Amino acid sequence: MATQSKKMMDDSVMEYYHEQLVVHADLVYRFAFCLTLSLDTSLGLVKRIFEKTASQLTPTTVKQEINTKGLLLAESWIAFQEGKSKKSGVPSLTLAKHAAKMFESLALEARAALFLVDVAGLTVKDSAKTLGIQENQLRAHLGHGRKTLLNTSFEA
Amino acid sequence: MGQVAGDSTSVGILFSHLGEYLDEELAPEMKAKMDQWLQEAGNQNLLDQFVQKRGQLQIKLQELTLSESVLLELRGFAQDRSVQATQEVVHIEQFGRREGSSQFVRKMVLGVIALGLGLFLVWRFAPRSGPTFKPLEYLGFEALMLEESKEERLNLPTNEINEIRQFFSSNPDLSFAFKVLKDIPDSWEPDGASVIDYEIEKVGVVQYHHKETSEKLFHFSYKGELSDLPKAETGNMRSLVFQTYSSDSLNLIAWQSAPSVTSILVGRRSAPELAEIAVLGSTK
Repeated sequence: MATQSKKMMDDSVMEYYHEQLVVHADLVYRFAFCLTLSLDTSLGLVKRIFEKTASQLTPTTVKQEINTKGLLLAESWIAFQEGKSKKSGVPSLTLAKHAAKMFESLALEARAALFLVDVAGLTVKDSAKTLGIQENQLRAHLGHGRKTLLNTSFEA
Repeated sequence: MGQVAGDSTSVGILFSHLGEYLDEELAPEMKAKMDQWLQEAGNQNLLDQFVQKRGQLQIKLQELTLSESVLLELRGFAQDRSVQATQEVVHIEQFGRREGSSQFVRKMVLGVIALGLGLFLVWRFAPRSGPTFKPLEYLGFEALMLEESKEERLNLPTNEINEIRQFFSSNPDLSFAFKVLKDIPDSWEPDGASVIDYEIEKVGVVQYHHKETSEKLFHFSYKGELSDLPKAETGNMRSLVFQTYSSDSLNLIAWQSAPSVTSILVGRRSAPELAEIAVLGSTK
């Protein structure tokens, strides 16, 4: 009986991981790219984030009402900060190159704010929480990011 | 393009509230301020430009997608111990006989099929690409073989759908993500799953049985395009576009279950009934 009960709980964790978290993998990859500007480093970051997240999931966690997208993006930000300056690898020359150029001209926090609000669709409040800063700070970074966005040409 | 007049503070506030202004989520006082700033900014097209640039940024970033192999690796990070143990036990039990007899028999069977059973199921022509792998013939025949054999033919005999999901996500032989059908009618219960190695192509299959009639149902997936299958009658059930094939005893419906992944549902039900199961199993 005890074994069956444990197994059911494990199944719920498994299902949660596959259906609530892995579906956001591409978004996490794009955020990682916005931070690192490197495809290789982004890929490594994504794998680290998902490995860590999977290892920390519990049956209790999956029962909570969590914004899984926000959770993963916050984990990405933390993982990036922990491994800061690991901007290794070759910057993207072909994929999303205009976006990469624009991000490169922005301060890190402005890049992150612009991505979280205007690409990932988080609210300003959730974005500030994700980056661990105040809302007014987030707005200042977002303002810089949007100003640069408006001056960016995405034409080939 | 994004040049606006005004002091830097008000310009910063203006830009940082553009999204909420467009979505009409601002409090009346803030909205009034934004109206004023936008007027002072002297750029009539600022809102349109912002919407356009934001959309362009989103589209450019969509060029970045993870490959199927990376997604498989990510899925593999969540490994249920009981599933792992089951898989190991099954692997050990099957190792001897599978190496010797199963592969040999399968190759022999395929040889026979390739020679003489082209009449099976196909309406018209062979696929445009990958002419050596004929999904309809091979999988139709495979369904018949599975139908007649017992569950020991399956790599992973289990009634647990999560074990099946794990089996595929941790299987290094598959180069694509096998989307297990979910929310199919309760009357269908899984018997287990296999990865069939045709050498030229690897195919995942989940076998189900009907709880009351013991009728079998097979869900195959493989790496390939729906458009490579012979042209056939096309159906559309609640946005699921599928092609229908039939033989004397079986019906098949095929649909594009993911980019570069085709799924085929094989059973003795009518094509609309199979499509209904596919729709229920494919929707989130």
